[in-house]
Amino acid sequence: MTAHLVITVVLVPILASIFTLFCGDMMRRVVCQIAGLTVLGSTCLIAYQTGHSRDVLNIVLSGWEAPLGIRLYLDGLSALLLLTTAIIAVCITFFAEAYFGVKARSGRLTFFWPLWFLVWAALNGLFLSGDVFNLYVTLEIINLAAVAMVALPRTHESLKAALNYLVIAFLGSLSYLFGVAILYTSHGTLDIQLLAELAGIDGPYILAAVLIFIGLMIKTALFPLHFWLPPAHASAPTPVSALLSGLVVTASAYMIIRLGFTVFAPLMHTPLTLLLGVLGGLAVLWGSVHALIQERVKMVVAYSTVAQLGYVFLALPVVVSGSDLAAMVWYGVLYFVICHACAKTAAFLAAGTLINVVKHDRIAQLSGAAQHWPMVFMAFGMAGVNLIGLPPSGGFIGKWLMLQAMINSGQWLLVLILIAGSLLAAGYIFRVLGIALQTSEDSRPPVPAPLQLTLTTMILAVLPLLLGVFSQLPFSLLAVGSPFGALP
Amino acid sequence: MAAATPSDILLCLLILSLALGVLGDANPFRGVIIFIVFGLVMALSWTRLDAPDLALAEAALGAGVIGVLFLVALRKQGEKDVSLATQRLRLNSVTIISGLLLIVFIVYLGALGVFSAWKTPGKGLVEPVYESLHLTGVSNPVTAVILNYRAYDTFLEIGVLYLVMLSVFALQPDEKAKFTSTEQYDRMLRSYARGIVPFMVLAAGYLLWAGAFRPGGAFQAGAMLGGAGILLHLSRPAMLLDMRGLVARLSLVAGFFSFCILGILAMLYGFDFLQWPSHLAKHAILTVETASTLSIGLTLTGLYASVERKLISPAIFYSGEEDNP
Repeated sequence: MTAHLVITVVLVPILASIFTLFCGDMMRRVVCQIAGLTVLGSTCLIAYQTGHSRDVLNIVLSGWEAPLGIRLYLDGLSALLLLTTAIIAVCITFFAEAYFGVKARSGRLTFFWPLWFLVWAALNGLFLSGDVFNLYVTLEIINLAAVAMVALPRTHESLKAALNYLVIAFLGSLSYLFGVAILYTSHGTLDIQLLAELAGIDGPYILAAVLIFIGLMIKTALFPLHFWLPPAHASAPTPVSALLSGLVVTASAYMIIRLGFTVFAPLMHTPLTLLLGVLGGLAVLWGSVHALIQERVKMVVAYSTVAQLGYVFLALPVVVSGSDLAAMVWYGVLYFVICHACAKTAAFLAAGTLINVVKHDRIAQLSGAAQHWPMVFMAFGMAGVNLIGLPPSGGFIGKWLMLQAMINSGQWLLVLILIAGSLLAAGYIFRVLGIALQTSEDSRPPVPAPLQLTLTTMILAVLPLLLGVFSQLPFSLLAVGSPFGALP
Repeated sequence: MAAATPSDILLCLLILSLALGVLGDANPFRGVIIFIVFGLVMALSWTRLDAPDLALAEAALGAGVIGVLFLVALRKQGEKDVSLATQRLRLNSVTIISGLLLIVFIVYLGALGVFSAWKTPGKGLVEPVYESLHLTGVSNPVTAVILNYRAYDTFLEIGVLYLVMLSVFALQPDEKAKFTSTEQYDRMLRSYARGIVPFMVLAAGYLLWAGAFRPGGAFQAGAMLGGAGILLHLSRPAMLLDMRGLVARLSLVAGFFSFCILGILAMLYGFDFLQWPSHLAKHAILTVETASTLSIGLTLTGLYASVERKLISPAIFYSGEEDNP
């Protein structure tokens, strides 16, 4: 029964995508809501069952065992990511409904919905996949659909950003695919678990690792390859920006962690990780400084994504210094990524709500805006708390684990970068809030922010704080099938 | 692995120099022509590697459809902005990264040459694929892999094609495209299309059927059908104009949807998702292949039609059109 339940979370969004292509406006809204809530319910059940039985689940597809067939792999990490994705996705669905409003009832914007559900299906497929080639296919769907959605506004900037994104995403895919081809020729299987057993360090293996990591680094926008991200994320319509910064980059970050600690686990104990760490550090500093000097809220949030993704790589050099520290890094990075997904979505949605009411997001002209739309800035601030890494947010727990691992292994440079990154994050968040909180003499009656927008934003902004306070449950879920067992 | 013959080396050199020619040529028109030749030579090399089905797809898609798309795009570009047509290859970040990837590729080739000398060749899945072939409902191992062993991947790949068409829909302007008068259509082309299209459809049907026991299958048949569609479209655009109509939409999702339905049916009868019980496998595979052929053919036609009708022409880059949601 569980196998069918797991396949539901891939199939239902796909069916929703097909149905929304044919439905009229009323039906489409019903389909969206039913599909969204069904997937949310299924993921809740999956997470509950996984946490309860404490077993990882291998689901055979097409009746063929690996290596001949493909299998899905469900452990605590997959279950937690499915659940987080479902919560974020349902919020984005309701947000988009209100944000696009009348415009999306007819014409080409209606095609946002099939695209959106296809991305959701592919995300779920990616988190469940146990096969390196299948991962490629799901990642490809995510990226292609994301490109199409970035181009939706059809303005000069958005088309340019979409084209850049397309080219760079293809380069990344190509590089990844090359690595997969090498893995297959040298080991004769594509299954992640079998590959992890067979893998030994030799020439083709290192090359495959380099190619796959280059591909994923491009998709995760690691420092020298980040230039495509801010324009693409900032020029897209807000629900799409939130989807890109919250979920799409999470997918490639997840793949790095997943492959890095299974197939490429032997390489994690070599100085190669040092290079990733250095690039991650540069990403943190570069992204944060740029976020500090942007003039638009969405650009600030987009550059913040570049910075925050740097942390995924920043802590990797610590893995060399023993399995206890490696476990802390594993848990820390994953928890950080999950909380970042919620907080970043909330930050973008807050910016979108603002655009919806003020019609712009230029920071300099936001003076006094917090008086009129307190809830929007409250949500932005709470998301900011997580992005900075202040307690009691989940981002704090993630960063704290990374920090402890760094201190225990004596990597003081990394510690400094982490602290500097957090201070800079405080800078760019408070800069926006500071201007918005000024008192202004503008006494015109403000346009109230639509409730549906504020509410979904608020839910996502509160979530990382809840993840910080009630961290017991998610951590025990993460421990199911973790390569390191429970957190030491 | 058999040793490389001089003609193989010649083929490799030809591919490399054509690729360099495509990238380096300052004249985009010449670049596109070289690209088409490049596609044909690639098709030749697939034949040399004993992969005639890939060769067919490469010739039809790589050289044919993509070449035509490039040419059309170029024509629109030429109408809009002539100065762009003479732009040289510039040293921007994309070229830098392509250069880096090229270096990685060369290193890989070198390393593979070094390591293949002492590394025992991997076993691969060739033996297990043949061992279970009698259970798959087809006798062509490639079809068995695509539509039985790894049907889930193919399901998602058909999803990618569906996605491509969705993206085109999402970027088309809402107003219906205007007809140009029918007089300018070439009589010659029309009578040619009248003669050849039925045969192309027949050939697509054969390729689809042949996929069960020899190279062929949905992708090749779809490419053939797409070619027929493009030919029809060229000679009488009015017929295939509204790709967003209900019938067109239904055919576009046919492949994807049939996979869903059969997968769900399999689960309802207690099998795994997308598992074909061996006595029904042939029918299941034929069903999804037929539906997919239709979708692939229509997607290719639709892609061409949308570029041809200026619906997603590159010209919108320079007109600064604004319709922000």
